[in-house]
Amino acid sequence: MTDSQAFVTIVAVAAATMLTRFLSFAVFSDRKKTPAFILYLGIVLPYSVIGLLIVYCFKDVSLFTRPYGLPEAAAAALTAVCFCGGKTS
Amino acid sequence: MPEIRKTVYAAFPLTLPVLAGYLFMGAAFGVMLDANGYGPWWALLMSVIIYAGSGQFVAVALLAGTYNPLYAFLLILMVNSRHLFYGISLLERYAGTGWKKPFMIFWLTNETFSIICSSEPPPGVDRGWFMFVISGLHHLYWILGGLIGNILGGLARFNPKGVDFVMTALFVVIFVNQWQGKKNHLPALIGIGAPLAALLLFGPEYFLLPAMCLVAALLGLFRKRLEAESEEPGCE
Repeated sequence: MTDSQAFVTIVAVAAATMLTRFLSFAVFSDRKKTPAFILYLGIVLPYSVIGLLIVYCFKDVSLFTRPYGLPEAAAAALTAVCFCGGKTS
Repeated sequence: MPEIRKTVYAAFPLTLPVLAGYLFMGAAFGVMLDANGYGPWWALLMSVIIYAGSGQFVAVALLAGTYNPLYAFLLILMVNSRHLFYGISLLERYAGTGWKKPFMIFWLTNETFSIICSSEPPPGVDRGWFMFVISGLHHLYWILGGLIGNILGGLARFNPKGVDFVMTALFVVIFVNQWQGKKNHLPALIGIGAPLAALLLFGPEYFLLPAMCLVAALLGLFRKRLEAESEEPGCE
């Protein structure tokens, strides 16, 4: 790939990323015209998105071959336990 | 301006987990880019105008492959489609932030979204500025990490395996925090269950879009119940 081809590729990646970030705000810029369902999603989605992000982080972990995702599960559980312990003490 | 200083004092401690994570993950990106023969100017360009973790890692692979900008565009659209959900979740919170708004939208990463969602400014600190400073600092950390990794990449053999768990841990902590703060766990359970089902069905490369559709559909299905119970704004 030449330098200018690399540059175009990078700009294409940047443009696609920007589109995903700005689209929701652009489409639903006017609160009065925003569908009630979207406003409802705005309230409940944050709770679901964090779960989705955790699954996304573990997406390349194989559950059906050794070690069956056990190291990742143990690490996540330990993180949660440490957090809860630190909070109550 | 004392106002700005107060805001930075309030915001900076909240960015520390991301400081650690972005320096390491950014460095991992920089090392990978260097291994493909692209120097610090390229690292700087990419971290400044793309600013997306998984997006930039995929971009390195795209740079190593054959030239096809349209394919690159569509692939990244899919990889970053989760940003659509962040936008919908932050419509209210970003409203009325004026000229800061486009910057904060551009700065919306997984990590920034999760920090913005889980923190409140202390009394006397403007929320718009608070979110603006957090978001901007995160971008700065990411750029720095990328540059450090790219410049030192050739010198030190740095094995980035496992580094990304810093971010996973952050999300787990926020998940637990949200779980404890909310009586109804259905949205959180849908957030774990639906993507997991989509992942098993479609595999890691293609699961994201079906997962998002499934999450939205299930939230729609339980709308009556959830709407009756939710009092507070969602992004807390």
